Parts: sequence; structure tokens; C-alpha cells
Amino acid sequence: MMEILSVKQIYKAFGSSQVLKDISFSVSKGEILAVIGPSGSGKTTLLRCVNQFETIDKGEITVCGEKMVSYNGKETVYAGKAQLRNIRLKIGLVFQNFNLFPHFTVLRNITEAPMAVLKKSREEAESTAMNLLGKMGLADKATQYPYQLSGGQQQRVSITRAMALSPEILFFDEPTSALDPELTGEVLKVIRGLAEEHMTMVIVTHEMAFARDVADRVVFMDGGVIVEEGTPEQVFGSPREERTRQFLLRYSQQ
Amino acid sequence: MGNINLQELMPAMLSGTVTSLNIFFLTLLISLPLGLLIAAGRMSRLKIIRYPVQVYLLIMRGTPLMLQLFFFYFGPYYILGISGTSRFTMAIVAFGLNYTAYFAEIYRGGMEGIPLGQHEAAAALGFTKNQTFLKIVLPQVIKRIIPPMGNEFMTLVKDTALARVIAVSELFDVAAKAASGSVSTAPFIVAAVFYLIMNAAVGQAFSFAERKLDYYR
Repeated sequence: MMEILSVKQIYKAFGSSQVLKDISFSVSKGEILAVIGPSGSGKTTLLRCVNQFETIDKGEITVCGEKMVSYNGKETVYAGKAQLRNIRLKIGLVFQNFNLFPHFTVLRNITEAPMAVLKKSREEAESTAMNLLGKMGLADKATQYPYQLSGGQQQRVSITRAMALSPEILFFDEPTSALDPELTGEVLKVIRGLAEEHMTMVIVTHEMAFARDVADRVVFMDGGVIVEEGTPEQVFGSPREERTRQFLLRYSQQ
Repeated sequence: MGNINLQELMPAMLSGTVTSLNIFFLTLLISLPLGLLIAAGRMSRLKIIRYPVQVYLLIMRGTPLMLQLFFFYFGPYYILGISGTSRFTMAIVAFGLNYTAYFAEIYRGGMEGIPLGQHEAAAALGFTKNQTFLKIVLPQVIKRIIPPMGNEFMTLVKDTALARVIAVSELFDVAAKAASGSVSTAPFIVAAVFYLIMNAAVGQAFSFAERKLDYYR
């Protein structure tokens, strides 16, 4: 299986607080990895490190065989600017708060990057966008502005925006956490649809039932380390670690 | 109203108004772009850039514009021994540098109000820093700063009257001279009406811009 993402022994501290400790995992093509864990466990920091919003202190990150950052025993060595940008384009990111561009229509939110970054023609970008919007059930929203949409619709647009660059891997940072409960379903349905198309995905989520259902593999993080990793059946059904059990218990009580 | 001939007064008042408008537009021509640069300097991570900019902002916003007009007009002669600087040019320099400081702070406020998520979303999509600024940040900044800019523009219309202190004969200077020559308040009333007309136009322009950018939130 082709490895899309490989993270090896990464460390990250903010001041004196160590946020990530010796994190290693990899994601193969077509695989769906769910990352679960309590708030402050380092999930979001991990995602931000892979997406170049934070620099790591130690370790190695490789995306599609391209080394984004490596460690020479003393310090981290990041790839050059052009290569980092190239790597970035292989990774799509869906934010918790959508972060759509409010001054662009839905269509332009999706077409701007393919046109400005990948230098696609307007026609090509728009036909790709309309195609994707159709799949997301949003074709009739193309000319609307983000503020005119519900949270669930906005998040679906932001997924479409990420998909329009045909990334090799798609990251989700708690994609339903900012949504009203009745709107999470439509977003999860879209992600499920991508799963059926074998999109490679890393999903940081608090939706345990969804993670169990859609993921091929689950990573449980707590206190900056990966406590447990396995298939959903293993992690949710028969967790090996006490900390995992405690966490899942707390969630099932809520 | 005293003994005054409005028909004789009007041409002088109109030419004073043209001078006032020249100060207004030339100040904007200098301050609007320069303010952006100063705002960038104010937000720089480099202390060697940020600190001098902060000193500049403190001086320009912390001392009277009238004092700055005197300084720029008399400074070259008394400090550097340069004579023959034009009153009008020095008025523009003083107004330009002064308003640059205010515009810079308005730009900064606008830029700092753009959520970090906008920058991150643009970065994640592969936009360069320049593309992010021009396509994503700046359009949103413009919408946000229209109300405070409207205030500043109106203040500038009225501040042009200060150019009188270095004997630039703008609208207010013409009115004041006519008033004292004719022992009449009529020139002041005419000047007031002229300032009101100019600011009404500024107000209209800004509410038009606000409506234009009302298509998103």
C-alpha cells in the first residue's frame, strides 16, 4: 500500500509545556484514520504541525514520499519554500469554523484557489466546482454568499473547496464541533460519501459513533502521546489501555 | 450682516475652495498608500522597523497638526538653512505625514480584525502571502474600515482650514480676511456652507461605498 503520510517521532512544545511527545503514525492511500482524545490532548496541534501552521521541535514528516521535515540529531530541517508549498497542495484541510471567504460567492470560494494557485482556466475550475457542488447537494447555492448558508451547508462548501484542489489526503479538524446537533448529520454524510470513494482522510473528531463507523483505524491521544492505536473494533470494543476505557466511558455517559 | 458685496466675494471664496480641495485630495493621494506601508511597519515582527514606526505615530498623533504645519514650514529654514520652500508644498507634507499616521492605525485595526482563520484557510489552499493579502485580506479590510475612514475624510475637509496658519490662502483664510475687511460675518457663513457641501459629498460617497459592499457579511 502506498504511504501518503508518515509522521515519525515528532515532538512539539509551547514554552515549557510539551504538547506532542514521540508521535508516530502513518496513513496509506485510501485509508481513513480517526484521531480521538480529550481536549488538550494534542490532536489539533498534531494536525497543525502536519499542515505547516506550527513547526515541530524534533521528528520527521513525509507526505507522498516528499520529506517535509526531518531531524538531523540536533535540529529539524524543513524542505525549501517551493517544496513546502507543493506538499501543502497535496493536503486538503477542513476547519472546525469553516473559514470560508465571506466576500466570495460559494462558487468563487471553490474556484479561486484552482485558478490562482493551480492556474486552471475559469471554465475548467467552474465546471469542476459545479460538479463537486452537485455531489454535495449544493448546486443551487453556487451564487450565494457564505452568510446566507446554514453551518452545515458552509462546512460542506469548505469540504468542496478543499476537494477542488484534488488533494492526496484530506484533514478534518473537528468538522462538526461548531455545528448545531441537527446539522452534523449532513456533514458526516458527505464525509461518508468521500470514504466510499476511497478518499484518504485523517479525521480529528469527537463524534465517536461516526469514527467507529467510518474509520479504518483509530488513534487515541491523551496528554500529547498516542495512548492506543488500532481498528475501531479494538479501540472502541476492547480498549487495551485504562486511559482509553476511561475516556470512552465518559463519552458514552454524555 | 455689514457692508459686503457677495458678488465680489464669491470668486475669491471659490478659488480658496479650490485650494482647500487641492489640499484634501493631495493629502489623500499621499496618505492612503503611505498609511498602508506604515501599518505594515507597525505590525512588523522586527523591532528595528516597528519601534521607529511607533515613534512616528506617537509624534504625528500626539502633537497638534497646527504645530506640525509651523514645523514643516519654518523648520527647513531655521534648522537646515534652506529657504524658499513653498507654503503650499509644506502644507501638503505636513497634512500628508499627519494623516498617514491616522490612516495607518485605521488600516491596522482593520487588518487585525480579520480572523486568523482567513489567513490559515488561504495558506492551506496554497495562496502565496501576496495573493492572500490582495484577494482575501484587503477586500475585507476595506469593508471594515469604511466607517472610520469616513470620519477621517470629514475631519480632513475641516482640517484644511489649518493651512491658513502658514498663510496658505484656502477657503477659511479667504473668508476670515474678507470678514475682517468688511466687518461682516457673511463670509464665514458662506465658508460654512461650502464646507458643509464638501462634507455632504464625502458623506454621500461613503454611504454609497457602504451600500456597495453590503452584499456580504
